[in-house]
Amino acid sequence: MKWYLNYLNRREIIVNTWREYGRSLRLLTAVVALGGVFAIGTVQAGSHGGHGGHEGHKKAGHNSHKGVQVHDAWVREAPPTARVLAAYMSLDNSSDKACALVSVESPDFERVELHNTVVHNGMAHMMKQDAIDIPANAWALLEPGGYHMMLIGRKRALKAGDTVPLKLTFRNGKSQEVTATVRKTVGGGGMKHGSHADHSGHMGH
Amino acid sequence: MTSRKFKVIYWGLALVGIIVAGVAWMEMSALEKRRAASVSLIPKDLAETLLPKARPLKPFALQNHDGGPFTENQFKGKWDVVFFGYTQCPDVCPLSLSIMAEVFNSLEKSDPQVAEHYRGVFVSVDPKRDDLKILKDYAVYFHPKLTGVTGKPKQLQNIARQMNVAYMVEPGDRPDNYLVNHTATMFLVDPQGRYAGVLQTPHEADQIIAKLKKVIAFSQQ
Repeated sequence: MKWYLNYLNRREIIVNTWREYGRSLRLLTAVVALGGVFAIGTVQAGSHGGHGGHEGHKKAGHNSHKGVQVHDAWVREAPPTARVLAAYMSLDNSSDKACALVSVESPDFERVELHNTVVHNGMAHMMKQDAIDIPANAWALLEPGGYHMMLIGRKRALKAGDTVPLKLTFRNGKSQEVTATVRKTVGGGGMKHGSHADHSGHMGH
Repeated sequence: MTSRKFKVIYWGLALVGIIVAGVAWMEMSALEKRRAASVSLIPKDLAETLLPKARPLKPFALQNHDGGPFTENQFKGKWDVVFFGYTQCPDVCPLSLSIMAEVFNSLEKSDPQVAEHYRGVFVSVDPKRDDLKILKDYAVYFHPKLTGVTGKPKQLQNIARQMNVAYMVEPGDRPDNYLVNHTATMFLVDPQGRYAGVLQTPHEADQIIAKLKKVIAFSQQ
């Protein structure tokens, strides 16, 4: 029966090889499919770019620039030892012009950076952003697990209910003062993370 | 003469064909059997959560936030939900830990007999900035069941490697100002101290609660 044992051994190898092969085949299929999707995407983007007329329309557009409205600005409460916090809000651009948030300052923090959390293959990456774009007539949502303001170097204790002034500066040079409320996301507060909208940071311009 | 040769070849081929078909059939059924045997252990709805086979953790030596030892033995006795991160992490860590806290709070209310099987462990992979005091304040702030753990870089690598965790420092503009990219998956360690499962991102409290309940129901079968 030695030949049979040998055969079994070899069979294991063959079966594994086939499994490997199957895996690479699947991978290849996935790559080809992805390539196809990208190709289609590129073609569409290209044809979209062809409608250059849109740009002209925008330039000639009515100058009813209402600015950016900030809704529901909040800062996540953190333990007293934490020196780095995050602020979230939604930026509503109701104008016909695209706009971008380029910098933020706060008297309560040494400095503020714009970041995006990207989870790729289970690994969380903080991607520093030079700006957060807010397209014309659209929202930019800063929420946990995504775009956020990283508040670095806390200068005073902040508890739930406190307010944090933030000065947002946009690419067009305009800036806006916003008040963010500190919120507790764990414990008795009964609040679910980032899902409440109390419009505390409401700002007109 | 030619017809005789032809006959031999014909029957020869037929025989080979039959043998090949027979072997192939046997192989297929053997494979099927083995496949059936290998998946029978973990129920379908936990297939994404529990590993097919829990892996014992090799010795490692870290410290808990009270200064006591935290080794593979501290994992024993209960199920642990483990998250790797650092306290200066602005977004992902507080988000994940508050979800873990929400899970514990909600289980304590709805299913206390399930809740008592679980503990939480927050492993800081940034021992340079996270001393034990900072770590304790941070962990306990989220939930009293949560233990902050850290240690020497080598020992952190030891446990991280065993649980397939990756982390790397992304330098900032100043030496003390850097970010740490890290795995945001939560891990499950069983009461025998074995790496037993994963809770993949994005974390949702309701889904985790359902999974943790199923894990206990399954482990008590």
